[in-house]
Amino acid sequence: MVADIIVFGAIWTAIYSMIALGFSLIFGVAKIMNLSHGAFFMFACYAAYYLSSSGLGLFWVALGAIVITIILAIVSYLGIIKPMRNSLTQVLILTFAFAMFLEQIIVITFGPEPRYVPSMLEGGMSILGVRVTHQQVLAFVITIVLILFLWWLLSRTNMGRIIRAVSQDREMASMLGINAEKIFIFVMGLSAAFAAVAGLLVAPFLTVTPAMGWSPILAAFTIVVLGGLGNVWGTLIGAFIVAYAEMITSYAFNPQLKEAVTFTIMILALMYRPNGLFSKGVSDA
Amino acid sequence: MTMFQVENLTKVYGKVRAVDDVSFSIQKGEFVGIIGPNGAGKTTLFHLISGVQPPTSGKVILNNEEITGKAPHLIVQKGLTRTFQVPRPFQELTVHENVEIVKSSKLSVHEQAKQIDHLLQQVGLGSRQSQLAGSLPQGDLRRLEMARALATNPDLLLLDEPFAGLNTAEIESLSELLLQMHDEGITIIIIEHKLKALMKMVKRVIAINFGQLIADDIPQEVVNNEQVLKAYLGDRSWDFAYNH
Repeated sequence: MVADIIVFGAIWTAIYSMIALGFSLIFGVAKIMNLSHGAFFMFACYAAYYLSSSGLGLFWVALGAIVITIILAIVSYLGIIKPMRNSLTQVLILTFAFAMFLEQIIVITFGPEPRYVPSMLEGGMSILGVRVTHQQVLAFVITIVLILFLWWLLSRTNMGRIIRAVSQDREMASMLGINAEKIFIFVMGLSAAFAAVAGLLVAPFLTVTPAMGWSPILAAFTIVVLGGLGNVWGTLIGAFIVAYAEMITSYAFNPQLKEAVTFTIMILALMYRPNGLFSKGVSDA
Repeated sequence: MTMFQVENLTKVYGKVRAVDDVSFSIQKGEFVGIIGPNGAGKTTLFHLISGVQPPTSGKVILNNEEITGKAPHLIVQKGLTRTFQVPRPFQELTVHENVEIVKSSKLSVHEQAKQIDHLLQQVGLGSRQSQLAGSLPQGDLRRLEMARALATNPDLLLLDEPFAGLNTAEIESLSELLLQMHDEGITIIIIEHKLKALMKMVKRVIAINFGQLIADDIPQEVVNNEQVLKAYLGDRSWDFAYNH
């Protein structure tokens, strides 16, 4: 049981990190609390389902689903978030409504019954005596690579430095010739891409349903409250805490209690550490 | 040659006319001071010119092109850059990174990268390039502001109280830097309360009170202008400003 907790805790730490990083990044840079982030995760799964059922190869299915999700996110930003961006409450309500809207569109288009998205890799292997599928290992590896990519982007490239500058003082960045609006669009796209990749990687071992986006957004919300909104490394630690708390609950007690534990962590964090365990702005370290 | 014009610029907040029908023009290569008591509308004027706030009415023209109400980053790319009263470094970036992120429409990325070292040497921060900007003392923060502003390759530079918070030695050193920038061809408009230091640098002074332009002349004339003296009466800031 301990080995199961260690192995699956690591896999879910990675996956939760990717979902929460996207959620945290757009808040850290543009102060947008995007509750439709989970819906992007769900939308990417359905996009992959639709594209794979039309006979495309897996690479094109993945690429297509990511690009479609990015476009959806940018359109939602320009159409509904940007006009209301200065009000955190309005953005919260609007993005929540947009997530519900997307869910209903998916129900109407694909029906409420679960769908199947094929694995990118078949078969499985043993780690610490625990049987895991190659798809789960792939999800872990790609997530780690993408987290390293994000670290490299933010800390080692001029685009990353500009993103960090905009997150610290948007007005001052504008006074130095930087188009902050373009940066917001880029980060919105990047954030959606992270949600989409997470969706594509876990869809083969999850049930793809129209409501599947709510559980990840709950986890992401809890993780960023723990880690501090906009704090990249805090987000990774938050993901570790939530993933292992869920795994311990699932294996030691009852899998049905998993989300109750996430809620409990969120409530405790909001009561005792509302600014996160290590509060600071978006940074590379 | 007129490079910059402000025509009947006005900003109204409710019943307050923070900037009231202000008009002036600046020739290429001028070094102009803007003075006025606290709350006169000087910084609001800079906000309207630089796109931080849209004016209620009036025009701002740079190099024969109207830039009124354009987004700040577009105004910077047209050649007009400003600094703020309180330095606003990106604290979690290094000194070098603070300058590196600046976007200039006049230089290629390669040329821009090459000029960063030169700029930081010029402002006296050559040895502090890898230090986090948040850890710099006040004087160096002003220098960093200058380096960032220069990195945009401005035709016209607006400086909002660059001497605020600096000691006498730092003011002298920064004055030298500003004169050097001016000698290199940059047109400068500077808001400053430390009039003694200001009058040593500029050849023309514009005075503002209650949002209105009350004087526009050579420094010697402006300091003796009746309306200017009246504007500062009872404010004691005139004595203070002129003796510090």
